[in-house]
Amino acid sequence: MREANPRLRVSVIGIIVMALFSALFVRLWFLQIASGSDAAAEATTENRVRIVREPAIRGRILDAQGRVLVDNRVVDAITFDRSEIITDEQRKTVTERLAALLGQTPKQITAAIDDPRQAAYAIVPIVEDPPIETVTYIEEHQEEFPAVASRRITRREYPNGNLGAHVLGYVGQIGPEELEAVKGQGYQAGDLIGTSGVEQMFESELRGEPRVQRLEVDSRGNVTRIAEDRPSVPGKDVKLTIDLDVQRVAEESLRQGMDGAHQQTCVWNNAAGEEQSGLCRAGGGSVVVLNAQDGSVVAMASAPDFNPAELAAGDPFGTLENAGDEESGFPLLNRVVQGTYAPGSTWKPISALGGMASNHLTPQDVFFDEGCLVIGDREFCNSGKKPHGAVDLRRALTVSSDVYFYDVGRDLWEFYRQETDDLGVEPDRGYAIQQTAAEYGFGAPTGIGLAGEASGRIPDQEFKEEVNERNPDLEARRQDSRWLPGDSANLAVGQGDLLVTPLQLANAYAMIAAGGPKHTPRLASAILEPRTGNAEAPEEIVRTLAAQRIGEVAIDPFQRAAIMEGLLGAVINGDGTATASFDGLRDGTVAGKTGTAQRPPKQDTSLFVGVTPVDPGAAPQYITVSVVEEGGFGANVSAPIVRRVIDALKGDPNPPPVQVQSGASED
Amino acid sequence: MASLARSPLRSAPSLSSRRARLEGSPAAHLDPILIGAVLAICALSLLMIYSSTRESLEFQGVDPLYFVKRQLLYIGIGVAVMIGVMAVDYRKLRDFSVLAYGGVVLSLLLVLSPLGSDARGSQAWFELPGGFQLQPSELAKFGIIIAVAGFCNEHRGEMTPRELVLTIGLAAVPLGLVALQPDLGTGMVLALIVVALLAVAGVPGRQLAVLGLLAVTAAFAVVNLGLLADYQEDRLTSVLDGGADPQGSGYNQEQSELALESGGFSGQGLYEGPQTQGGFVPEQHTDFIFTTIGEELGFVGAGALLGLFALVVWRTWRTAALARDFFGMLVCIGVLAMLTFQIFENIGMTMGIMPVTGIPLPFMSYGGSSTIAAFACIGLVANVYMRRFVG
Repeated sequence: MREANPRLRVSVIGIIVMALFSALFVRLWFLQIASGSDAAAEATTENRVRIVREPAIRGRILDAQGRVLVDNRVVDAITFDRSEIITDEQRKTVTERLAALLGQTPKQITAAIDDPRQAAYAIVPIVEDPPIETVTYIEEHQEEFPAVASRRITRREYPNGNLGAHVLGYVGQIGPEELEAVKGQGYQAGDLIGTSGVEQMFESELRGEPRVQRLEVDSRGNVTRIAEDRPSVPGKDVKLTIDLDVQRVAEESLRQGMDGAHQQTCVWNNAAGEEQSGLCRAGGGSVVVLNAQDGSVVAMASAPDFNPAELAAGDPFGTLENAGDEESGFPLLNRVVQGTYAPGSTWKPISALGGMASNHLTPQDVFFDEGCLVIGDREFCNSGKKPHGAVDLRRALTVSSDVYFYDVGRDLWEFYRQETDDLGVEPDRGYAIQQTAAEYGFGAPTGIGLAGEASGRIPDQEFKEEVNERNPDLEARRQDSRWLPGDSANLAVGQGDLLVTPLQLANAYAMIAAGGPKHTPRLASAILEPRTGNAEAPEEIVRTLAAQRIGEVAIDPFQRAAIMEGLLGAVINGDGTATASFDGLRDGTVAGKTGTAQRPPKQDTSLFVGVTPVDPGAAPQYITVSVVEEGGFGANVSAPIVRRVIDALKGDPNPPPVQVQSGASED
Repeated sequence: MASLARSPLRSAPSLSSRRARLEGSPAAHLDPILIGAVLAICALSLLMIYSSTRESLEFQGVDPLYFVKRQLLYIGIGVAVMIGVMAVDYRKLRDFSVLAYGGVVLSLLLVLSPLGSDARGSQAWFELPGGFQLQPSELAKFGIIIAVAGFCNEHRGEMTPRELVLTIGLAAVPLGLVALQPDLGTGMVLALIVVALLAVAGVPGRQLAVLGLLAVTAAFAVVNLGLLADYQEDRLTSVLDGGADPQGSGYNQEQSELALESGGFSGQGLYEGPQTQGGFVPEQHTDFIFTTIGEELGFVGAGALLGLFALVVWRTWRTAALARDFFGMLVCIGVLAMLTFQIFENIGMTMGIMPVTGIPLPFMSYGGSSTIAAFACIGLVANVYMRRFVG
C-alpha cells in the first residue's frame, strides 16, 4: 500500500494538470471566440493611431476696397497644454526642465503656464519664436516634457486697432464647452474659433481646413509611421462691404458726439415723474451706414468698443469677464444690432405710412397743432408744449409735430375700437402702424447674420396681455391688458413699448428712400482665395455674396415724395429740427429726421436718421443712423454725428469735428 | 498500479521485445514526441520574438533579428545542456544531489553579493561578457528538483515529521534567497516544486493539509503585513480589480486581454497585430509573448501552442508514471510541477485569470537562463524516459 500510494498521487497530479490546462483552453476560447473581437480590434486600432491636427492659416478680413482689416501673424512657440492631465510632480519637473532649457527661472515658467488671462484648458504659449535647438531638443525628449509641445500659433493681427471691433468680432481659443458644441467639425481644444462678429459669421470660410496627420505610434508615443498626412487648406479671405474710411469717420464721430454730449445739459424725468436736469451721461451709442440700393452696410460703429487683439491674446484686462457689469458700459454689445431703443420721432414716417395705408390719412390732411392734445383724461403734448399751428404731413415731419401724430394714433385707435368692440373682428386698420412696421422689417431680426441680433418689439394688445399675464388681480389684469388710445398715440410718436434696433431703423428708411426694394442687410460682398505673397495680384473670387433683395414694400410715389420732402425740410428749412447741424449741406442732397425718446428714469435717447442723396439716382444712396443713449435731444447730438459721417460719404476723408448743439429744445 | 496498467507500452510487451529493449542503448528509447514538441515550441518562439521586436529594433536602427539570433543561441546551448543531462544516467545524478543543492545555494548567495547586478529592481543577475546575463534562480529550479527529489527518495515511504521539517527547511534556504532578490515568481515556482515532490513522496494527507494551511497563512501574511514591495502587492491584487487602474499594474493585463480578444479565431496576421506592433503590451517578447501569438495568429495559433504545451506536460507525466524507480518518478514530478505552474501562471496572467508575476513561459519567452534551465529539466525527463528499461 505504501508503494502504491505515490502512484496514486501521480494520477491525482495528472488530473490537476489536466484541469489547469482545460481552464486555459476554456479561457482562451472565451476570449478569442466567444466574446466579440470587433470592438477589441477597433480599440486596438485606436490605441495605435494618433490624429494630430494643425490649424490652417486663418483667412483675412478685407474692407470693400480690399484693404486689410484683420491679418495674421504666424509664430512658432513652445506651448503648454493645460488640458493634459499630469501629476503635480511631473509638472514641477517639467517646469524645472523648461526653465533650464529656456534660461528662465522656474517662477517665470510657472507664471507663463498659470497665466490667468488664458482659458482654463487653453494651450498657453511659454515662449514665442524659440531657437530651433530648443524645439528639436523638446521634440527628441518628448517623454521628459509632458504637456509641452512646439506649435505654430497664428496670432490675429488688427492693423487698425479697435477699428470695426464689433463688426469684425474676435477669436478665442476653444474651451471644453465650445468644443462640445462644434463636435465633429475637427476642432481641438486650443484652436482659434471666431466668437463674434464676422469672425464668427464666416468661421467656416476663414478657418480653412486643418492639416490632419494620422500617426501610428507605439506605447511610448513614438511615431512609428505616418499613415496619412492631409495638408492644410488655408482659410479664405472675406471681403466686407464696410469701407475703412467711412468706418473710421463713423467711429470718430460717434466718440466726438458722445464726448460733446457729456458737456451738455440733459433734462429728463425720474421714476417718480419729477423733472431732473444735469449733464448728459451719453454712455453708449452706435452709428450705422447702409447703402439703400443693395442693403450693404458701409459702416457699423458701436461705443464703447473693445480691442479684439487683446481678446484674441487672452483678454489681459478682463474685458470679457466684466462685459456683463453695468459699469463696463457693455463694450461687447454691438448696439447696431443688439441695442433696442424707442425710436422717438424717427418713427414718424412709419406712422405716416401706416396712417395712409389705413386710408385714414393723406399727405394733404391738415391738423391744427395747439401744442397739446387731450385723449381721454390725459394730455399729450409736444416737446416744450410748443404749438406748430396748421400742419400737414410734410410740415409735421419737418418741425416734428407730435400732436399731428397723436392725432393719427388716436384716430387709428378709433378703428381699433370699432373693429374689436363693434364688429368683433381682428383689428386691421386699427393696427395699421403695427402692420406697416412689420412690413418694413421691425419686430424681427434683419437677418444680417451677426449673432445675437435683437428683434425689437412692436406693441399691440397681444403684447400687453403677455406683459400682464402674471398679474394675479384679474380685474387689474383685464384693465392693463387693453390696447388703449394712449397706447396708439404713443406708438405713433415712437414711444411707449416700441423698441427698434438702429439697423432695423436704417433698413426701413432705406426702403422708403429707395422707393420700395427690401433687402437683407449684408456685411460681406465676396469670399476670396487667400492671397499669398503678391499683394498686387488680382483678387480671385471664390464666391460672390450678392445683395439679397427679399421683396418690395408697396409705397405710393406721392406718399414717398411727401415724406422725403418733410425729411428734407427738417434739414434745410429755417424751422427744421436738424437745420443747425447741416451748415453747408443744405443743398437739397441731405434729408433727415431727428428723434428724442424718453425712457425715464434714464436720460433721453438721442437719434438721427440721415438720407443722402434724397432721390436715388446713379450714385449710391446712403442711410446713416446715429443713436446715443442718454444723449439728450436727437438734434443736439445725433444730428451732428450723422452730419460728419455724411461729409465723409460725400468724399471728405477728414471732415471737421462734430459740433454738438445745445439749441434744440424740441424734438 | 491501476494507472500503470493503462499504459500500452506496459500492457502488452512480449518477453523478447522486453529483452531487446533491455539490451539496446538507452538512446534508442528517446521520446520523439517530447523532444519534437519542445523544438516546435522553440520554433514558434523564434517567430513570435521576431514579430514583436522587429519593428522597434528597426526603428532604433538595430538588426531586426537581434533578439532572434540571441534566442537561437540560447536554444543551441539549451539543447547541448539537455543532451549533456541525458548522457549521464539520472541515478548517478542522484548522487550529486547534495552538490546540486550546495551549488544552488552558493550561486544564490553570490548573486546577492556585489558580484550580482540588479536590473528592474531585483538583484538577480550575473553579468557575463558579451552582454549576456546569468540568472541563478532559473538554474536553481533544476538544482532544487534534483536535491529535493534525492532527499525524498532517501526517506521514501514513511516520512517522519522531523524529516518533513528538515526537507522544508532545506528548501527554505534557496527559497528565501530568491525571495531576497526579490523574485517572487521564481520563489513561487520553487515552493510549488517542493510541495509537489513532498505530496508524491508520501507525506501523509493530514500533514499535507497542515502544510497547505501554512502556505495559505504565509501568503496572506506576506500580502497583508507589508512584506511585499508595493508594486508586487499591486500586481498580485490587480487581477482582482480587473481594469481598475488602466495605467497602473492592471494596464499590462488590460492591454494583453484586448490583444487576445482582437486576435479572434484566425488572428490579425503575422506582423499585423496592432497591439504587438505598437508595443502596447509590455514585455511582449518575454513574459507576455503569449499575447503576441494570440493576437497575430489567433485562436488557431494560441490553441496550437497550448496543445504543444499539453503534449510536453503529458509526456512528462507519462514518464513519471513509467519511470523505472522512485527517484526518476520524483524528478519527473518536479519538472511537471515546474512546467505546469509556469505555463498556467504565465498564460493565465496574459488572459487575466492569474496575477501578474515575472514568470517566463518555458521555451517561448525570450531569455537565456530560463530557456537553458527548461532544456536541462526536459533533459532530466528524457533521461528518465530512455532509461525506463535499464536494470
